[in-house]
Amino acid sequence: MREIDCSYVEERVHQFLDGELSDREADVLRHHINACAHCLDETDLVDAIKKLVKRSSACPPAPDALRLRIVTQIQTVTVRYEL
Amino acid sequence: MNLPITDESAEVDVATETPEERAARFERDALPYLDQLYGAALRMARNPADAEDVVQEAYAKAFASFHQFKPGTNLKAWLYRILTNTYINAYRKRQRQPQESFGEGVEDWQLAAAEQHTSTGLRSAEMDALDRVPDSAVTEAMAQLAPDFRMAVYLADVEGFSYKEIAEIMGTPIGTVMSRLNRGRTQLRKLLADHAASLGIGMGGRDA
Repeated sequence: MREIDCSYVEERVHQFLDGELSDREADVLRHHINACAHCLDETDLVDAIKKLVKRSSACPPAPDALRLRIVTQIQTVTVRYEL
Repeated sequence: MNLPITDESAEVDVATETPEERAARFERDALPYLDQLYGAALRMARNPADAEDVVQEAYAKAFASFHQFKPGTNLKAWLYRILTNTYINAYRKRQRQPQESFGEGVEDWQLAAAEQHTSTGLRSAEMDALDRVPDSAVTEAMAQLAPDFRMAVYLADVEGFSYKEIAEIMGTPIGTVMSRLNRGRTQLRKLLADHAASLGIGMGGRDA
């Protein structure tokens, strides 16, 4: 396995966690992270932030009034085409 | 011979479709994304009234240019792109938003300092603190990010779009998406650390 240093991991940790690295590249990072307490903690923290954002972003459904306005808008525009 | 199974929407002939057919197709295909788009707009716009306006305008624009949408391609990303552009235009119109302090203009040294600040304490303490941060604090921290950062983080972490899709939606190169995500998350981390410290939870704060 290719040896890399912590700064190499730091530059790619977001891509790593977002699944944007090739399998091969991800393996190289994993190999380092597993053996490095510093990089493990950093990776954990970025991952925790990602999960917090997801957890806290549960949204209420769109209000019925908005849905109705949009549907009405579509139908109005369509009728106008006809005239 | 096995013909590929094509779904209904891919077979549509956009050129010969009647206005009613197009409206029906739009309602059938685009309207199911309303809840998701509204959720995204809520995160971008900070208040429900603005979010509703942005979503309604985005749907109006999407419908007006629906004949240009190529059936069978990524409708969700297409709608998000329109929503994002609508939001950005609306946002630029009202330039008076003084609270947008954490802009693109944040200096690297500030980020480095923020990192220094959070890394001086015990790592596990930072994780513990993050675990105890309430959702409302995360929402608040998200609202403090510059709109471009907030959107990139939202699209990646909540909607699960790939970098390529985010680049298309935001109309920027992938490198820009990466730096917005990186800086957006770094700022979130700092904001959440500050929040935790203010509650005395301490992520490398006073009691570390």
